[in-house]
Amino acid sequence: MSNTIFSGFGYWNALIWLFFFGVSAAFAFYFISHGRNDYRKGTPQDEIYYSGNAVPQDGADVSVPASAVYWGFKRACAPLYAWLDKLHSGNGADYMGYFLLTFAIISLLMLIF
Amino acid sequence: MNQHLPALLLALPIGGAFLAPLACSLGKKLRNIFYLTVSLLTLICAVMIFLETSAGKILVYVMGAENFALTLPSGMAFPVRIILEMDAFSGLMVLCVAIASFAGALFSVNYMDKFSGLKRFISLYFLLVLGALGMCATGDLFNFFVFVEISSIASYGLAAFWRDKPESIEASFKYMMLSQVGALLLLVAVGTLYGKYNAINIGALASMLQTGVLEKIVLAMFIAILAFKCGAFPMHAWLPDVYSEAPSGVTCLLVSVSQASFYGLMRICFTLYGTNPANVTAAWILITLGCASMFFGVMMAVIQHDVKRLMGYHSISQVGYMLLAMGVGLYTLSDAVLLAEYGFTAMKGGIFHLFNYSMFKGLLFLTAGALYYATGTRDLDKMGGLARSMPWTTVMFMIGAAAISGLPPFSGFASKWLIYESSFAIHPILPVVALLTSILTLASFVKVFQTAFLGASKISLAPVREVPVGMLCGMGLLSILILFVSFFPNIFVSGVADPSASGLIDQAGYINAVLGGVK
Amino acid sequence: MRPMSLIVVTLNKVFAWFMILFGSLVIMNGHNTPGGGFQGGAVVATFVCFMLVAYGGKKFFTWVHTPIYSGLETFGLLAFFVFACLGFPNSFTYNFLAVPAITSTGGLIMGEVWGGWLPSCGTISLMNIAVGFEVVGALSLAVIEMYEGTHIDDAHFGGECGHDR
Repeated sequence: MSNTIFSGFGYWNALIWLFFFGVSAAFAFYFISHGRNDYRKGTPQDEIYYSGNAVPQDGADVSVPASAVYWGFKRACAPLYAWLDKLHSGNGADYMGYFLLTFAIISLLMLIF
Repeated sequence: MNQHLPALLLALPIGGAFLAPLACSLGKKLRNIFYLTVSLLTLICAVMIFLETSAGKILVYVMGAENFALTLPSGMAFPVRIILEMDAFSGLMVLCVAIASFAGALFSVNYMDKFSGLKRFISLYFLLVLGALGMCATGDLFNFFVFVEISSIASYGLAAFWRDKPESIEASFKYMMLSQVGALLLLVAVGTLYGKYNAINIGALASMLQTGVLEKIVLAMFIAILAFKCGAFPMHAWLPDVYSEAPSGVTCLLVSVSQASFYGLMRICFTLYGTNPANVTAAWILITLGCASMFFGVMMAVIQHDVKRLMGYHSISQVGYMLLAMGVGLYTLSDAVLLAEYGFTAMKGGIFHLFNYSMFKGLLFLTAGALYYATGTRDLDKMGGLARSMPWTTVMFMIGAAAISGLPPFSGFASKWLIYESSFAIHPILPVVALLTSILTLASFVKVFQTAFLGASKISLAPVREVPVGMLCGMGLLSILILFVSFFPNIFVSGVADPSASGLIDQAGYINAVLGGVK
Repeated sequence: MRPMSLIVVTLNKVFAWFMILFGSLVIMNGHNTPGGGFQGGAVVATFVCFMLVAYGGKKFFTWVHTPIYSGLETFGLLAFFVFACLGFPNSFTYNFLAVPAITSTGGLIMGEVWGGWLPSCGTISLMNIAVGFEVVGALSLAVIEMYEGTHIDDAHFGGECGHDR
């Protein structure tokens, strides 16, 4: 196959991947086509269910803002994020310090090993 | 004319920068034609160089000599003039920069249209292109420093282009402060080598470099400053600021400029130091920096809600992949068996990822710019449902996001896969970090896609329309390239990454191109 | 910034023009004496500083036309670029004007026949002058822009602050 790349441990070919993706997609569509088919447009089936309340007109009222996404992840990694926030102080002198410190550590490692 | 290509490559952006004030006084239309023509000519020049170098030729050009190939005038034993030297890796980098600059120019024509001060903008833009191209083309360390400075100074100006915004000024000022100290360190490093060896030509230095304390400290300086310039973890803090505050067309180019610093780091580690024992420590330092950048970069990216800042943090994590891959390559450099077993694959993966990264990150920054152009905000909290009004931008964002997250069958997957498959041979934790990074990358781009493009339409965004055709062309160029590389990675890996990696390993070839038969 | 005393203004009348002359000398002789385009240009650009300090911002801005300095800068850069490009059949930045004084035996006479004159230095002196023009324009502009940026003069306050107009 002409557009295959080898890593020495395996190979990758986008077209073969697409072929198998197509095959699995065909199976998926086949199974879907065997499901229930009683959806009718324009009936109450088509309406948005918003806990029984009236659906707000503005999309801003129903969307989750980006800063609230992955709330749980942020909560779970809170200690790490506290440390990272402290690191990104926005103070140029701190950043200069990190740069010089990194340089010093690299030099030390270079000299020791 | 073909022999003069390396000089033309630098002469075109210089001419563009110097002529810009005149061209801008001729009116809007001629200004845009000028801007695009010079970018296109630079791109054509870069493609020609790329075709020549990827065939295995090393281009050498001596500035100011009676003959462009006269590297050793009057029977001297070492080169004295400014020498440009380009092998396959340089050719690839030049191509990346030129593509990014052309796409950025196409994008900027519409994006910057409503602002004043464009003659300065275009001048600085071409100077930035010149700096980045020069860093990739030069064969001499002092000129490398000069080009680093040209590109840095141009990027200070461009980052602060919207000078009525305090954030822009702040970002530019911080970058300037850090970068100047870094540049001094680079100058000290070059000066130290010059003091000891009386040469600044990379080939000449490589032929006589010894092992010693001085060389080790100089290598530490080079690693620190160039890793800082491409945004490795503990020294990355300037990068999200600058990337998010610069106009988007420029950010697309800045991505490639930071890759030019990465190129310099590789040139110094592989070509200048080669099998020098200092390189084993350097390899571990690169791997450590790479893993730290990958993980912490993406951890910061996940929680951002400013779209360009989020992408800026992703730049840090993507640079980590390349540092990791090239570190693995450097680690195996002095052992031919390991190099053939997995080191060379890692280098191919790193170089492949470098090209992919320049393309998809450029594309993503351009789509972020398109979002900003259409909605007037970079805050993801205020966006939503834009897929209906901006279908083209949505599709191109999906291509870029899928590529950067390493979703098959896109190009990012192929290059990351090469890195996973080779780095595990050193230690299994390395591909674990890389895979985790990839997952978190996908998570954060799902977040961007979901909050900006999907969801219910917001009334405040009702007047949003698709961006003008010039901006779409800029994004489209990069999207088409990404799709092409995704489906035909073998053309790229065997035709480009392979000769580039061989060029990096082949220290003797690089030296011989300058020193000729003398050595 | 207010104008300074009569003593400063009087001294300035003599000295500012002298700086232009001295700077020009440094530029012109840049190819064979210490100094050159950049150094001479910086000396010439002190003229703007002298005027600004002595006469104060209000009076100074009635005289100054920034397009002149932009023009000088562009002219210098373009001249440099053109001289660099003219070397092209040989190589970029090749010194095409220089006439190497070659003796009948083929050796070079360094600094004897043509020493210091245009034929031996060729484009170096011309490029020096071009750099001189560029630096005069750019440094003068830098001083003017930095002064305007401080907003000391009320007359110039509230002008263009950004590109978002």
